[in-house]
Amino acid sequence: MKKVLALILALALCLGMLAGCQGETQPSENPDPGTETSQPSTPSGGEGDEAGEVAVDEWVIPVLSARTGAVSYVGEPAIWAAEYAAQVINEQGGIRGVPVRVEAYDTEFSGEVGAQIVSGLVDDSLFIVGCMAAPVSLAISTIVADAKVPNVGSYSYQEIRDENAPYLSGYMSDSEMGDLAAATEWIKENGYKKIVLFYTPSDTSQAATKKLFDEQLTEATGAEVVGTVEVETGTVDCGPAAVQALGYDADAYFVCMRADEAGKVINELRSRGVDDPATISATFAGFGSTLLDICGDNAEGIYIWNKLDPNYDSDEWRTLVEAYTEEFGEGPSAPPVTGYYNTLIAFKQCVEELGITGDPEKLQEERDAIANWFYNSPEIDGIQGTFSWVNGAMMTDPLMFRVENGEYVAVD
Amino acid sequence: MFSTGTTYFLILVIVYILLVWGALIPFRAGLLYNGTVYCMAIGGYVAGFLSKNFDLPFIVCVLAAILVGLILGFIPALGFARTNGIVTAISSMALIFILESVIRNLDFLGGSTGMTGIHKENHLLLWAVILLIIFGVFLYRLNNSRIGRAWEAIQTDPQMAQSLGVNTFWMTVAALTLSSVFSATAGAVYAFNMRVLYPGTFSFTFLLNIMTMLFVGGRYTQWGAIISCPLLWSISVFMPTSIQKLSNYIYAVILILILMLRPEGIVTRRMTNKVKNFFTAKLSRRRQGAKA
Repeated sequence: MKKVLALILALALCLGMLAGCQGETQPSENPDPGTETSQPSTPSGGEGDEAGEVAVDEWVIPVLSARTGAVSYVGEPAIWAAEYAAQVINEQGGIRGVPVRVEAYDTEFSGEVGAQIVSGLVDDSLFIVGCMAAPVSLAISTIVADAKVPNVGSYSYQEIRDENAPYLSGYMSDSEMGDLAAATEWIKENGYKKIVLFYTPSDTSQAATKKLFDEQLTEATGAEVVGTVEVETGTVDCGPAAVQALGYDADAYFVCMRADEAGKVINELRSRGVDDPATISATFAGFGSTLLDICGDNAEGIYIWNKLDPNYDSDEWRTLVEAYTEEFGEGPSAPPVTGYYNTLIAFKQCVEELGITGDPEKLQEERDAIANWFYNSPEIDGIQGTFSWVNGAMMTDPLMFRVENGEYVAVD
Repeated sequence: MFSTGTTYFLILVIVYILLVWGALIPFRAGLLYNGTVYCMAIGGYVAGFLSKNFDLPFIVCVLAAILVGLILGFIPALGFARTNGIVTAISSMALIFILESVIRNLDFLGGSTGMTGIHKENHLLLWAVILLIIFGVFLYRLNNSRIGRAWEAIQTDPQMAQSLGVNTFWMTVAALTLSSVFSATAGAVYAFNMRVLYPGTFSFTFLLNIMTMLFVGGRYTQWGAIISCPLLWSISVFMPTSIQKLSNYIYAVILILILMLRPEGIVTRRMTNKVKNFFTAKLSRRRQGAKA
């Protein structure tokens, strides 16, 4: 009994001490990028001007991606693209004469794993690329923003970028905005009036698309979303979902899901009486060979949009496609490939324009400069044309395709 | 004091230990209860909501999370106490999916896009350690109390326990409710550590991690979690980058090896008894020496 009393006394003392020394709970910093965000000064005018000597032997860039787990099929290509970009940069003489090295990390599909990895990187890193899945990026966003480390990852909606400005930017254009733009073009082109939306409610981006369609599609197109059908990741039988959609008596169907589920839904719609393939349009997450494999002839004539053009006409792109095909057996179709590649190329331009030195003593100053540069960047020569970041959002147009003879053909 | 990475690691390990203890309590009463993650989500969202919207201090948010967790753990416990075996396991698992679905449809909790803007607690590691000690001591005392022995009797044979005068229904309700308290606390600490909550986090995968930690560490003692949680968690995150992709395989191999070679887990009851006897003997020798 005495021991218990002693223990309770010790704990009470401990709590009392804590109450005394407890710092106030700090509200998270939510600076408005347009108003209150501190705008750290750039460290120097530019390379060759007042730029200091480079203080590192190599630029080490941590690159995070989901190499295992639910989205590993795009996670591994993303890492490959970052390593390929580093190779291209090094062949051109590195960044300010110093080679770049990519340090790849697997965040799996887990917020906790991502947060743990990033928390181990933020103390020393100048710049972090990735991660790629919305739950993981949500989990790491506060860590990188607290540590004031610039991070280009899958921050595909403005709210999270605003909350943590200017440290977070997206490596590809906003998915839901792309969905809206692509759907608007498709609906106007074909004159549809009643639309059914298929989406996965557990996917943050797709849920955001649903919300955006509810709020803005009618205003943008005059068409109405007459029904939404939820299909969870991993659904084996999409027949009930198709039946539910057909019950809405709609003109057309927008399939906002990843390739596996999108393919099954398209098959079910086509086999249950949707004869005109133009009435089906799919989002970029379905783009790729998986959808064509699942659907076969059922995919012929459907619309689908993407953030990259697999048939883009440039020497740089063709060389990348060759290298990619050698590695993966087929050409790239997932947007993270161009996203990660372009981010590395942008980092090069940023370091050269700002005269970043990598000096540990100037770490925070240079991080701030890089973050601001990315948040509202100048025009950058990417692998598929020029692009820029505006308020952390990568600005690229959605590209519309139709499936013809088992291939994706760009639509003007 | 610690680097950002170490602080995160320690806090997450504490969260996992609290959760494993939360899963251990019903197990002591012979129930395979899978509602741990459900109560964790409740605790996390309650703490996150209060912090974000009312700017309440950490400890108030934790206490509120415990209270709500206790109530929302107690209500289903009244039903689960009448079930056993596979029925408890499956029906309690359903709570995870139900709650996930509910949260997705509640805009004030962030819906599918998740809850952001949870305030930063500067001394979170210290608070987490204090909570761990309080809950650890409480669990230790509980295990060695009449209630703990009653749970053990229920686990061994519910009919026998009943014939010995144990009220199996209320003892089971108590175990499940206490489990909810542990899990809700873990959820609150988790919310302040991550500062964002996402319905998908509190998923079946999370439950599998906790159960693996419970079975690897040792499902009959509270000490196993202290070894298994840091061990298994570090596999995922501290692997060299070159072999990081293999972490899931390594995780699986450890689990299979442990189940084959030490079915009771790393820390067994025999082992804890030995350690206890060693210290008791040492203490009594010292006392005798002092008397002499």
